[in-house]
Amino acid sequence: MLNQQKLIGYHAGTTFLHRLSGASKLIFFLVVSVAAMVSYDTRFLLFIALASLALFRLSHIRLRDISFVLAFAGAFAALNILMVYLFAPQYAVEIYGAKDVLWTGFGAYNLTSQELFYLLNLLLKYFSTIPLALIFLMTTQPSQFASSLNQIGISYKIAYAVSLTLRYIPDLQEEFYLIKMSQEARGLELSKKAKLAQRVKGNLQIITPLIFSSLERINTIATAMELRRFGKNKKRTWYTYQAFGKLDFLVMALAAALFLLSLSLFAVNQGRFYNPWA
Amino acid sequence: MNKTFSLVLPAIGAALLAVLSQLSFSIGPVPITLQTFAVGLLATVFKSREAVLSVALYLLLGALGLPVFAGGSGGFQALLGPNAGYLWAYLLFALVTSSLTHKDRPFYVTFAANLLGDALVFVGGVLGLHLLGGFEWSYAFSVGVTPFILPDLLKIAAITLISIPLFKSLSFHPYFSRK
Repeated sequence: MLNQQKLIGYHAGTTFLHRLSGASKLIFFLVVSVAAMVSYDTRFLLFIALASLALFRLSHIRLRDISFVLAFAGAFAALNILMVYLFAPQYAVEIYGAKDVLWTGFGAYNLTSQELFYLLNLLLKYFSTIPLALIFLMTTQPSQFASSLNQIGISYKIAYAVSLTLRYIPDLQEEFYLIKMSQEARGLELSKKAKLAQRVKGNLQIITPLIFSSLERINTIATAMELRRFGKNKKRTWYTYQAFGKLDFLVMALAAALFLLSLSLFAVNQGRFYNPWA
Repeated sequence: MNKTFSLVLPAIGAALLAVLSQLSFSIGPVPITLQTFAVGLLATVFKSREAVLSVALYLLLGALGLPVFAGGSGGFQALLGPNAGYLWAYLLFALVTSSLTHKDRPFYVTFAANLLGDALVFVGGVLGLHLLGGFEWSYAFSVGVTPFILPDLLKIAAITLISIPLFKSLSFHPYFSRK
């Protein structure tokens, strides 16, 4: 049970992606993600999606390490795409200004080439951004996350708060399950055998001790940090700091180029959408 | 208290949001997640600055790609897609509710404060569905608000019930005694 709930994590490796600074990977990931989310040019999205999958392979991340997260993300993406169709089945017809009915449904719920094309664009967005996110997460040391954020200009205190959050998510998860198992050992029934009201009440009985143990942890952490003189200076050094190298500058230049490309495609397409029916 | 505590509190708060958002139970076929409940509870118990910072850190982690949002989702697409309005509105939820709740106020003030904050989440959700998802306003409302009203009322009631003993037990602590 604990294994299933584990967040994906860092896997040590020697690929070129592991050797990049966390900051340059973060910048690349954010810039390219924004470009992929804003653009609806299918050619651009297809290029980014294929490149993301290629990078994914290059990172040597094994599918079984992330299959649980991929299943979740895939289900969520599929649900999103289905919801878009169910609640705006004619949206694409308005966008592309054409209507080629493939299947005559009920009322507005026919299926058109335009709607399928639009949903394909949405799917490509997921294929573009999810691999990039996983690559960043799994090839960057968690402790380098904080120095990466500081390196791109975020206050080191906020960056350190991110590091603390990452550090304590698994602890709190473990704490939750320990409390749950302890309560169940004392007779609390939380499985589907119990009535809904009983399950709700039972889950709430786990929240209160979780909050108190978290607050105790907060006091301990804050005191320990103070004793080590955290926050006394305007700047700090980072043990995990990695200066930008040539590869890092190349990666950031590539991110900028892709972003400019997506902007220029706005002009070429006269809007966000690439319209093959124009 | 001190500056370090004011930083560690939202950090652990964001971790709590990440953990609690993954929990859900079903009413028939409909899954109900505790994401809204978690935001409301932190907003009720924390002061404004720490409540908003907790939510901001949580959104930042999600933006970085960590699967911390409800359903194990994350990544930039969650913050720019059709459901993004809900997530951004949690910042407002945290700000408004934490400003209005106080340890000495009666339970119905806590309920009303959470109700107001949650209403702002719905406003944000509908705006997001319309502007980012391309839905008509009526569709955005019927799919983005109507099915969630009853579950969210239950969550707000749970927040109200759970915060009463929490405030009593936390009054020994210098930070919470001034909430």
